[in-house]
Amino acid sequence: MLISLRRLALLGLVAASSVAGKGAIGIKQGKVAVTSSDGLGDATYTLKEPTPLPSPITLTEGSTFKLSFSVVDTTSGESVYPQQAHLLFEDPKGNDVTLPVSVKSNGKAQITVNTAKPHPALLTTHGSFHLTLLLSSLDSLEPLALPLGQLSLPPSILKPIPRKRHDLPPRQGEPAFQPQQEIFHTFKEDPKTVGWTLSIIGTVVTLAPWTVLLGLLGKISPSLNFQTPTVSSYIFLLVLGALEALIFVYWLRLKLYHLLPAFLGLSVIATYTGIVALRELRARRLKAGGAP
Amino acid sequence: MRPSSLLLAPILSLVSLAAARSATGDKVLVVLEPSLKKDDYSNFWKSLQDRGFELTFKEPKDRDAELVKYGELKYDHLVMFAPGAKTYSPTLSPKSILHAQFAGLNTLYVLSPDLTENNKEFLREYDLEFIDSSQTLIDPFNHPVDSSSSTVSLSPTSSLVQDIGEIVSPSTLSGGPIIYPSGTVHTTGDNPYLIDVLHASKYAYIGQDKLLSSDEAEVDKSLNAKGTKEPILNGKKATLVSALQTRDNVRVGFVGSTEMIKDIWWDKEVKTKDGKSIKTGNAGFISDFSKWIFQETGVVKIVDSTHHRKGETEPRELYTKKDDITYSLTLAKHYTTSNGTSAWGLFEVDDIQLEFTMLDPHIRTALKQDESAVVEQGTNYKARFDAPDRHGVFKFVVEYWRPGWSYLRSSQTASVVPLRHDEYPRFIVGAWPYYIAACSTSLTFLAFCALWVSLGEGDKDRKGKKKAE
Repeated sequence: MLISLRRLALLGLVAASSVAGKGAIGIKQGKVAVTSSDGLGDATYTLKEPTPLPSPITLTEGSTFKLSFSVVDTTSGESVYPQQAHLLFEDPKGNDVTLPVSVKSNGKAQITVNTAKPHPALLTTHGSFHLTLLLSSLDSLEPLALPLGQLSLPPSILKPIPRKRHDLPPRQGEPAFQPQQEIFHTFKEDPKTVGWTLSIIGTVVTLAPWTVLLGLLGKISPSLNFQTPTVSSYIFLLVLGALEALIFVYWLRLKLYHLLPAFLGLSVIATYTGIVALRELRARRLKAGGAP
Repeated sequence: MRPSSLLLAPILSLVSLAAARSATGDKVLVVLEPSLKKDDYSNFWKSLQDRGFELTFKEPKDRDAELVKYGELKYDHLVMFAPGAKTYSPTLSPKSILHAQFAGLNTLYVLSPDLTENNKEFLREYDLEFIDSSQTLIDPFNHPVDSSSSTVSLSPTSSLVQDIGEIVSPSTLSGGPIIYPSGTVHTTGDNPYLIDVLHASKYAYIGQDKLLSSDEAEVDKSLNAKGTKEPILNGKKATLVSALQTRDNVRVGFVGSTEMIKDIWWDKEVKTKDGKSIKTGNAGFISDFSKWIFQETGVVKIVDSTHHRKGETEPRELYTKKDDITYSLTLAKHYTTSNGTSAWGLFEVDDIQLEFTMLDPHIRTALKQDESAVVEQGTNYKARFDAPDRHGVFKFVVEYWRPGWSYLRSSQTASVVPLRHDEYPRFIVGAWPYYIAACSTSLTFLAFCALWVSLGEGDKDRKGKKKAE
């Protein structure tokens, strides 16, 4: 019964004020007190709308920030119980926190930030805030958004920022919603190779015995009896050359199954021409009186 | 009746495909609560019908509103416009809606502060937590001049979330304020498939739209399960409109206020505090959001993906180590042509990556747009890399998960094998001595044979070397 009477009275007040022109919420006797355990940096500021605090407040460990004021209707001067009394801690990096300001029925309000027993919501942030006091009473009065200035919490009490939805690395079993770091493959080192110089030196060394051969041949050639070979032996030499050429071409580009039939064929021909050539040579040798 | 309608259905669906703008279909079921009047939202229904959708209206208790029939979806999209319904028919129960969503039914939930506890329980499936039924979003700092504080006016630039693809169009972002009258608020959880679309301003709060004295407020707080020292839910954490896109690209939207779709706010001019008259952005926002939910915007697909070695054009099953491989991917985005048909066009992004994976990614590289490639529809992306030293079975994996776009996943298998015995380099520089040695040997043999056949028997005066045989 009493409550409904009070409500009626409030409605009447609202109606009266809306008819007469809306009042606006304001603060009276606003005070900010910073106290610390070691007494250094203690300060008290009086707040007067609309000026904010003169300098940013940096809290150290064990210090307390206390904001107290009285909520009034600026047109009539009477104290008001506001529907919304919040202190907005705005973080330029995006993790804002809004805390309620406790207001008594006579309009007196206060909020305390104690670094020794901080509100858990303030800890999971970056620690430095722009403060704004929000006071409103639905449509009965003009609301008030009063920027108060800057407040910083000591970094030692801060906790790590919680993970945002699409941050990397993704949680177990979930996909990545951002491009991830690029991965490159480091290849094994190429095996060491031998250069041209050593190769040429090796070739020269390989060809060195030829000089010996040619030298010795030169020495004995006067005592040799050269005679033109028979036609059949030319053919035989040609076939032998062809065999060598076949082996060379196989080494370059053929496969074994290409080689073998050709090799067999050429060997048969080589055998036949060889027999013919050697028979003729033997005949010639016998005619000349040499060994059979 | 039934057999002939079954015969007609494929023909009808073909015809409707030609006029449809949605990438998946144009049959919409609207489940409207009896307490909400259909005519209050006539602009919304008209806008849906203008976009080519066929609307069917049913009530929550209608037993003939079947979502899935004979294993196939009867409707392509669903608008659940029944936040306060306490009972549903078995075909529209939360369980059957979830079952239909698994089969591909895109859903738009329109909710209000009258949300029943059962509905809130069901919406926890989507990782959403709603506020108390008696409370709405209140913002005394941002509301139209001739409305109460619970008719919240949201500025598109500060209340719409950026970087969510095509969920909101540029015209809505630069348009008028979005009015959110008597709406409910929810918080979204950590589910990565959730997308926040619209959130409250920093100065708003959640409460009742009536003046409470200090005693009443005390009583309220003590009755409330939460303590009085909880931080206030506002700003980015107070979500008003959100969406969920499942891994199969089924889209579910959650709009917190039935009033914001009403005709009275659809295209109305509102007076702001500084005396200016400006048109609301509700029509634009609801149209954009429903276009995204019904798969008209933000739909992308992989048209083609192929890979090949340098110098070739066809993909291979086997690549050798250190091969120069090029991977090519074509993506296309769905859009609506000017005469109302579905089409697929360019989709340009700069953060898509390719992973060459065997259990773990061995190579992760960016896919860069290739403007010189000629493709029928879409945009072509290429990545070029060397196959790793490891041999094994690898996969070309492309995954593109971004809020606001359909999820893309593609995976192709190829093996990487070591060089065969005859694929090693031949004719190396350091082996010249050996080549020359071999040639030299065969030349020596031929020279010897040539010399032998050209020598005659010389020594006629040799004594006694005649062999008797």
